[in-house]
Amino acid sequence: MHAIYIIYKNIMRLPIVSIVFSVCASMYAATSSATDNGEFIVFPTVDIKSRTSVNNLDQKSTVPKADFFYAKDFGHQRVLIEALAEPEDEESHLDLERLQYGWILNHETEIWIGRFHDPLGIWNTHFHHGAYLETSASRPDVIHFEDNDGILPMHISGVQINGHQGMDNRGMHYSLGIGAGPEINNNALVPVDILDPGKGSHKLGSTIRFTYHPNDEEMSTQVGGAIAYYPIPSDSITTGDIKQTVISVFGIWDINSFHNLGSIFHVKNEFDSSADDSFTTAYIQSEFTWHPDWTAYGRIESGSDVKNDTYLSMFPRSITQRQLLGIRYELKKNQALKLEISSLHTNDEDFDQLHIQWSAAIQ
Amino acid sequence: MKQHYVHILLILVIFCFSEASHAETRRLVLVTGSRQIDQTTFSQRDIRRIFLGQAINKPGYRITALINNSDPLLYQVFLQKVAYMSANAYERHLLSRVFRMGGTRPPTYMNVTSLVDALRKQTGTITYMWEQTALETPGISIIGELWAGPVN
Repeated sequence: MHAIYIIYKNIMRLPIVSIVFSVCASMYAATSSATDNGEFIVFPTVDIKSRTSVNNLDQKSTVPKADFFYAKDFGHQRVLIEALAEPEDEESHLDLERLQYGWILNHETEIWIGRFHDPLGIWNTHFHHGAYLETSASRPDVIHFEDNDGILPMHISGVQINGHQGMDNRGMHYSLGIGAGPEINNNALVPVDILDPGKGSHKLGSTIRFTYHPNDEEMSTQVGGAIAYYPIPSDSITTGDIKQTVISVFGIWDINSFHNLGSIFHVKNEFDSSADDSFTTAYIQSEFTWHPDWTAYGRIESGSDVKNDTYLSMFPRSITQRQLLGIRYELKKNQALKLEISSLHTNDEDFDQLHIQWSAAIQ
Repeated sequence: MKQHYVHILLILVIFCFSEASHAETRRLVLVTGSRQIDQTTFSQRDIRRIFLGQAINKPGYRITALINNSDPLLYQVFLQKVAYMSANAYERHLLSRVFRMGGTRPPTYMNVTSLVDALRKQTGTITYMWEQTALETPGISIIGELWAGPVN
């Protein structure tokens, strides 16, 4: 009952939620009868977290969010918009996550301009804010969003080229993103605000990713690697501006009934005002679906050289280790309830967390 | 005692046959309303890719899927024998693809009349239906068999 009261209290105090659900309802009514109008999907999420720690014995939070997604094709041209509504300091806040305009050159190649997801690994591009789409309630810390204590660039504003090359039953995908990366402001990464691109100081960087599909089917077994280089202007006196290089390898693979995905990231930072530093971090998640409605999963996140890393010291809330167990239950059509228990470690504290999430995809 | 066993065996045999008589063999077929592609051959792999939202190119045409959800049993057979996924997993896959790459998901039709109408109007579209329905519906062609077996 207490949990229901918390949800009710938190949801009702946010005016954005009533707006979100009104828009959901009206758009649902409009689009369900008009498939030619493109895709309008809303991904609402409610996260309830309760954690214990040495510093604070009992912290609870309830956060409702809604991710609005719209995509439409105009012949060989394509538009994609994603905006996230979430509470911030007792107020509601709407962030434009993606704004992309693309050309489909042929069946194998497409070019986008705008603000898009950094193709650094698989998780960021596969799920991003679509919480319903990811099996787990939480995402690995290394790919947390910039505005949520994230440590790596998750958004680029510029040009992206995606391509595919089929070879018999195998396939090779590539994704190249060139554009303005983030800056560091008050110990937080700040990506380009696409509605105000002149704001802040952002420099040109790039990410390239290759993915090999042994049997050319999406979401099945795949392995790949990505390299990213970003000059990051920083207001930190300790580090000065940063030149960041990220090398990542990743994979998705099935063993019997277990679906696994994992990544390793090696991050090297060259600082203007300090000695260079580097760290490595990795995660692996295994999922087991024993019934169409029930999936159990576990994830381990760990790192090396993270303890006294100069760059990570700017993000004191970043998680250096996590062990997690969770269960996902499919509610009615396109709704899921997830429950996770985890043990987390940052450079400052260790704590346990209970995370309950309701998520959906409303079309 | 022996006669007792014979009676039990007889009852079991009758029971089995009566169950079997309820299970009728049905065929799930791939159909199109486009004359331009009604001679095209599709591999099982191509068909699965198309229904997973990946349009494929056959000479001169872009082949896309229409999802037939006019009959729950038909949809279940399609999920089990063509998509190899549960309904939840299939819908999540289609959502995930659009979320990553943009574009649109294959449209879903809840009645055969509007499905057939779309099939005839949109060149390069394919769908699945029971063979009997396809044979009774003018203006569409069967281009392959997806599955055949008993259904209750």
